Amino acid sequence: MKITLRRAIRVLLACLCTIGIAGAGAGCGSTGASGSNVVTLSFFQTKPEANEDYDKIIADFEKTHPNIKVVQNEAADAATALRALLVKDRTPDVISINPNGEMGKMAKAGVFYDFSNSPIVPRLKPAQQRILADLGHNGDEVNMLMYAGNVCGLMYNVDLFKKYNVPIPRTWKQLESAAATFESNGIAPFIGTLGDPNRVSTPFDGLAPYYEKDGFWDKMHQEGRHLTPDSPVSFSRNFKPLLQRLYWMYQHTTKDVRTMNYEDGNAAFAEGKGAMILTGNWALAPMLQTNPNLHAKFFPYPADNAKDDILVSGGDVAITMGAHPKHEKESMEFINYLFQKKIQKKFVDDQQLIPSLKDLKANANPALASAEPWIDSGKIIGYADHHIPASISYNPILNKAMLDGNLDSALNTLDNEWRKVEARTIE
Amino acid sequence: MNATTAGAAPVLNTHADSVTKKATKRVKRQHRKLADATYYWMVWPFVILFAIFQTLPMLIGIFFSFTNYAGYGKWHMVGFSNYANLFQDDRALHSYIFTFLFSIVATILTNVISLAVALLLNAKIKFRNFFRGVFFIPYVLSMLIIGYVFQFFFSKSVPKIFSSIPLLRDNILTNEHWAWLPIVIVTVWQACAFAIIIYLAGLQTIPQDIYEAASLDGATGFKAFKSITLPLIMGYVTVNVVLNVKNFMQAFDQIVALTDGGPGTATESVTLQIYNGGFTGGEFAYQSADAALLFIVITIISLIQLKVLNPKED
Repeated sequence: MKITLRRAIRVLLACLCTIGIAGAGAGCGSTGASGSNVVTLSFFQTKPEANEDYDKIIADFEKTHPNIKVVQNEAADAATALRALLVKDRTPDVISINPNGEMGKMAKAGVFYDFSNSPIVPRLKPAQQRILADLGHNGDEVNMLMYAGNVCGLMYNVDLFKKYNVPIPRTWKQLESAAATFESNGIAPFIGTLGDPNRVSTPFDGLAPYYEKDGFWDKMHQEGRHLTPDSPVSFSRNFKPLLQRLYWMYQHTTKDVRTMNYEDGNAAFAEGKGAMILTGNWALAPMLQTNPNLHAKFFPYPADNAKDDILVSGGDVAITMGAHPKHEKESMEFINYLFQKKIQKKFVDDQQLIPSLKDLKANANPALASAEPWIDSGKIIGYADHHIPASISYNPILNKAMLDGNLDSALNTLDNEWRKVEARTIE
Repeated sequence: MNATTAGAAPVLNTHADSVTKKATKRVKRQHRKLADATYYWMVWPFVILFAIFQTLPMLIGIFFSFTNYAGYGKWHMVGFSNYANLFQDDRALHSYIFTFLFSIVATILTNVISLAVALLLNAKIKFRNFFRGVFFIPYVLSMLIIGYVFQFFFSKSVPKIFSSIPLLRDNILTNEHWAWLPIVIVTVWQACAFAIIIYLAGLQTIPQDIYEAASLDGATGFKAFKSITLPLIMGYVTVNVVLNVKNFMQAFDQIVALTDGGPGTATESVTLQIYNGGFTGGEFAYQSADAALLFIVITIISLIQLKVLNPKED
C-alpha cells in the first residue's frame, strides 16, 4: 500500500510536471509568435547545492544572448528523473549530471549527443575525459564532457600532522607507522562512519585501483553467471587484501565508529578528533562550516610502493545533451558559455571541485590543489564501484564486513550477488 | 486498506437485506435502487481514479515483469525468466523469510499489547478520554518521522544511557542478529494505536449485563475474559490480525529510517528490496516480478486468515 501510494504520488507528480512543461512550451510558442524569436532551453541539473551558481550563470548568459532563455530544472534523484524524461521523449536540451555507472549505461544505450567534433574536447584534461569514457559510451562517440571533478583520497589534518611531525605517508608501511604515532599520542588515526550504511564504498574505491588491475572488471563480466569464489578472478580471490587493509583502517578509528554517521564524522574531523578521514572532497564544505580554520589536504590511499600510487578521481559534474537536440545551435552556445574559463573557475571555486579545463590550474582551496599533481600527470582512475551493478548492495555488504570483521563472508556474498545479477540480466 | 473495508460494508448490508426481505418485493426494491442515480455519480469518479492510479499501474507492472525492461531504453519479452531467477535468488528468499518472521512477531505483540491496553482503557479509570487520546497519538504521526526519531534514539541516546551493555552501547541497529528488535519495537508502538481503537470499539459492543450474569455464575477476572470477552470480540481480532499482517508484510518506512535494510541485508524487507533493486538498482522488470509475487503471497495469506479466523466469530 505504501509503495503503491508512493507510485501514485510519482505518477501524479509526473502528470503535473507534464502539464507544467506543456504550459512552458505553450508560453515559449507564444513569445516566438510575437516575433522576438526567443528559444527556451530546458537545463536539467542534479546538484542542488549548485542551484544558485547556475542561476547566476544563466542570468549572465541571458544578458549576452537575448534570443535564448534558459530554464533550470533541478532533480535530486537524477537517474530516475532523467530516465522518466527520456522515456517520455522529453529529453532536456542541456543536461548537467553526476557521471556514474548508471549514466555510463545510458550513454552506451545511445541516448546522449556525440561531442567528438566539438572544439571543447581538446581543451579538457585528457585523464579526466578518459574516466568519463570508461564509464560507458556509444561506439566511438564522446558522450559526456567533464565539467568538474572530485577527489577520493585520504583527507588529512595538516595541523595534526605538523604537530606530531608525521610525514605524509607515501607507502602502506608509512601509513601504518603514522597511525601508530597518532595512536600513541591519543589521537584516532582515522575517522570512519559505520553508523551510516552507505559510506564504506568511498575508502573501498580509494584502495581498489591496486587490486582491479589487468582488466579485472572485464574478466569478471566474462566469468559472468559462472563466477564462483574460486574462479580465475573473483572478489574473494582478488579483493581479500583490500578488505583486510580496509578493516585495519576501521580498527583504528574513534571508539564511537559504530554510531557515527556521515555528518558526525565530518564534524569530528573538523574538530581535530582524528588525523585522517575516509571521505572525499565533497565533505569539505560541511567541514569548513564546522571549523573555517581547518587545514585539510589529500593524498592517495597508499600502495606498497610510492611510485605506484594512483588517486581516485571521478566526475562530479558532466555536461551532455540528448542525442537529437531540438535546439542544437542554442544548446551548444550555452554549453560553450559554461566552458568559458572564468565561468568554470567561479563554479569550481564555489563548489570545491577540480576544474576540467587544461588552462585552469590550482584551485583556490589548498585541499584541492594538493590533489592536482596526480590529475595533471594522469595518475588518476575512476571509481571502482561504478563497475559494480547498483542492484548489488555492495555498500551495506561492505559496511557489515567492517562491523563484524567477517571478510570472507562479505567477499562470498559479493561474488554470489555478481553471479546472480549477471545471470538475470537478459540482453 | 480503507478501500477494502469501505467496499465490504455495503456488500454485507445488501446480503442482509436480501435475506430479511421477501423475494416478492425484490423487483420493486431493485427499481427504487436503480432510480437513485446520485449514488452512481458519486461512485464512478472513485472507480475511475482507482482504476487509473491503482489497478492500471499494477497491471502494467505485472506486464513488465515478463520483460527485460530496465526502466528506459529498448526491451523485449522474456517469458517467465524473471520469476525463475527470483526463485533461485537467496537474497530474495532471505527477504521473504525476514518479512514473514517480522510480521508474525509484530502481529502477535501488537494484538496482545493493544488488547491489554484496550481492556484498561475500557475500564472505569480516571482521565479515561485523556489516556485514549495519548495512546492514539502514534497513529497521527508519519511512520517515516517516527522512524527517524527512533533511529536517533537507538543510535545516539541508547548507547549513552546504557553504556555498560555492549549490545546497546555499540548501536543495536548495526548488530546483524538484533537489528530486527528495534524495528519490531517501533512498528508495534505505532501499530498499537489503531489496533487499540478497534479493540475499544469491540469492547463497547459487549453489554454490561452479560458480565453481571456471568459473575453470578462465578465467572470473573480471567475466566470472564476467556469465556465472554474474547469470543464476543473475535471479529475485531480477525480485522486487526488481517490488517496487521498485510501492513507488516509491506513494511518499508520504518526499516528505511532505522537500518535501511542493514547491516548487510539482514533486515531487508521485500518491499525495501523491490524499491532498492527496482529504482536505484535498475532492475525494474526483475523487481516487478518480485512485486507481483508479493501481491500473490499477501492475497493468499489474507484469504487463509479470513478462512481460519472467521468461523470463530459465530
